[in-house]
Amino acid sequence: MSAMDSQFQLRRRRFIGGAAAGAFMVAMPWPRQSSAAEAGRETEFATAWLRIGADNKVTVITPTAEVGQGTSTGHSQIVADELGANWNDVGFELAPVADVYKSPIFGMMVTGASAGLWSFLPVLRNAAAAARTNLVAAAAKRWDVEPRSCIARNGEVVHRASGRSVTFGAVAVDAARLPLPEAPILKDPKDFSLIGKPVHRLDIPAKTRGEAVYAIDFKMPGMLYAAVMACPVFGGKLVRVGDKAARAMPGVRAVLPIPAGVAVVAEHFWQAQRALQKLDVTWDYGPNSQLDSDAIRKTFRDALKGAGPDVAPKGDVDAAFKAAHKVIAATYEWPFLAHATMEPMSANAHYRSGTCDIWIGSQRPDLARDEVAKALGLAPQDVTVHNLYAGGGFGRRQHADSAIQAALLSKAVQAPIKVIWTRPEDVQHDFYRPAGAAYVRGGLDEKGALIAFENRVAAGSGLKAHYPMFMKDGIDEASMYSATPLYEISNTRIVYKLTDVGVPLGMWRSVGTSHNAFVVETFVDELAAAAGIGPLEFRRAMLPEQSRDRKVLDLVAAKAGWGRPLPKGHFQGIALDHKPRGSLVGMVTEISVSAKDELTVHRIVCVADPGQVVNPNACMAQIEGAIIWGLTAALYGEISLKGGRVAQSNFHDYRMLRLADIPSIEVQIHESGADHEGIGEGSAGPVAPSLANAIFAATGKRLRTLPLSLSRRGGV
Amino acid sequence: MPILKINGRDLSVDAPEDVPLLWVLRDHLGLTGTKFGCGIAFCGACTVHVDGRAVRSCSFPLSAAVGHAITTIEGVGATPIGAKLQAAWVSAQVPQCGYCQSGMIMAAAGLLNALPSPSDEDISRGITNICRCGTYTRVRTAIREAAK
Repeated sequence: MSAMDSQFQLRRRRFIGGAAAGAFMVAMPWPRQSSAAEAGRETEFATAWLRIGADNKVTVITPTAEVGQGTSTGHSQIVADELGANWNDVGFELAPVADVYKSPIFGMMVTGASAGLWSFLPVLRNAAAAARTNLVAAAAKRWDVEPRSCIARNGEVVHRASGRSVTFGAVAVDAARLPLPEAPILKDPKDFSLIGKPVHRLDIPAKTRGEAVYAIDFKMPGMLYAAVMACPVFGGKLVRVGDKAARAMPGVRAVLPIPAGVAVVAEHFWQAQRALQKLDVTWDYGPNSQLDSDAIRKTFRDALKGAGPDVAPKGDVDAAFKAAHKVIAATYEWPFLAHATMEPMSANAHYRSGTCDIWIGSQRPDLARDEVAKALGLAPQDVTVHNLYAGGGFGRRQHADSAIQAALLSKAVQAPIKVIWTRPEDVQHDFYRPAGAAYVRGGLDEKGALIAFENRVAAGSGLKAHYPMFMKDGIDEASMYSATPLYEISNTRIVYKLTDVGVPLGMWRSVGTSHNAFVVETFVDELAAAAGIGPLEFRRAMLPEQSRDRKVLDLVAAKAGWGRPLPKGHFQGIALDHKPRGSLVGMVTEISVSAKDELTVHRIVCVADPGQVVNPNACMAQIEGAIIWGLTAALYGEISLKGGRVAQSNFHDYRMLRLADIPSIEVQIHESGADHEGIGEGSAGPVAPSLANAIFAATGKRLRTLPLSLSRRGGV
Repeated sequence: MPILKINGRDLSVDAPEDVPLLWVLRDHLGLTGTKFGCGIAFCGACTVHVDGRAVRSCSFPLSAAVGHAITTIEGVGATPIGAKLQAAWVSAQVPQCGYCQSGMIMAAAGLLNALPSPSDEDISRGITNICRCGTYTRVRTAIREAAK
């Protein structure tokens, strides 16, 4: 245990239902219990990671945001299992901002990269094992027996020989007096009773009753609502506002500038939103007012011709291409994409004499604290961020923009403020999945084996904009995930051309794999066709016999009935992808295309190898969800620009799949026993290429632009 | 002041007649289980019942709600269909982020009110709500389960 942990080891403290500050109660933890019942509960034992109450309740502090992925339950399972808790006594709380909760791999509090579960697994096991050690020691001392003659199970410490038992709650005070062991003995994985089990998620009951509190729902006494409008052109700014009509409207309290925009503060959100529409705003559109999708597309295509760093140099590519019997090449393109979380951006702030509290659903609560502090001219420790459930994240909630707006407005009007973005504001002021283009080239020998491969990728970088510390020699690795094929190819050149076009970029669920897997796995299909070899056989031949990759490919082919007769008019496409520590995934997509070029996706078969699984049911849900995420993007996803503005504004023109559109989705989890990998994103990448490959099988048409369309050529 | 009958209770609301029911429920009455998603009746996150029929409250004025029985996610559990759906939602482990799920359950309850044993086609046609986490397959499973 670190020094920070012992600071958290409080002897006794009032448990007031979470990290509540001032007059406000966060009604968030303890999904199984009302916050009123929770208030006033005595906490007997507390570390940074868990608390045990006199009533035996165990509260797990989860350092990862709950954006729907279920890590709050996964973390709770890990702690409860290692502790020997009774699962019915376990609840969770989202962590406050503190150094101890920084991601062990990223060094900051961040929910992303599908890393929440696996990266904290060792930390949480250790913390729970330390707590268990002390509970056992305290009980053993009470009975005057050897600690090793006792075990912790089902929320009790039991002396095996005598059968005596005592609840965790009853020995928690004594356990808290003992120093925490630094290297406690961990449970043997064969004794796990919760890790690996499909227990029900702790957050789901509240979410079926409308009781889960998101930022948009959070209530503050005396709060006012703000509707905001940012300059429609990226990089533009506010010049002046004619606000006479707006100010005369009922309930309106203030019209105020915010960074690159303007806000109306009113007693109710509807009033604020209506008044915002009455503003007469003059903008300075700045340098981006001519940005449009056609020009951006040309910028990427031109960039492909230039030089750039080789991220995975291997062999002698030029010589191999020279020696090749057959060379084919193609250019692929993909558009910007918005996150469109179902809960639009929203944030609450209460500024009070030099301090500020923020209630938000954040994937970067530490950044929210720091950026709010900076905007207010405060020190970071004067800002407290309370993390709430988030109505979808997908990378969008790694930004603090709405929190900054709420904080500035709260300071200006000296009242608690809730900012809610309208859907058009949310779609048009996102940090988008980078658009881009790729030029791919492959060389085959006489037998049709792939001996040379080149992939040149031109795209902007969300990493450079928001995580410059993770750039490596000018390379955005997240942008280049899956740009290097996972096959054994002797000669490869993978060129990265960072190409900035003035559109705000960010992390978007599955990041670089969302386009690179499409390019690489569709082009591998092109190469198979050029070689006159079947798509499955062509891939198999490039994978070592005993590899995880080959296993997953074989499993998915077998599960989908690859090569066997299909219903009339049905065709299949296959793809394989492995987002780094984001699960190895094989996919077969089955479709039909009507005489009028209407595409129907019938079936998606997926085999995922996440190494090991903490909760199979939650894991399955993530895989299903990421498939639909990938399919939505493959069929519909496109944000385009005209006159420096995003052309789309709401779900009518930024379309989402609905229930009627969903194919049969068949998922198999293959636990290879490798290290735990994330499962939030891996199954998104293979969707577009397996679909494009199926379309080729059905029609002979090779679609190289996302979204996939049989009737038009898509733009960037 | 208009009186609204919500989840079996009469509540007076100090709001103009043209305010959408969604904002009356959320801002005026504190019933935040009903969610704001798009504001154009497209996504269904704001679905509530008016006399047992599913409506999208973001585009449904207060004036049209007066004199009718309104049911929200906070009250639907008191109806047999609502209780069955909530239980099926838990057993199928439907929600992920959960934000759209109030509307999804209300839409499903509206469907089952009208069609107690819907076919797969009825479910596809009847449930047009948007879920960004991609819970659709489980939504279908849970509706089938509740309709048994």
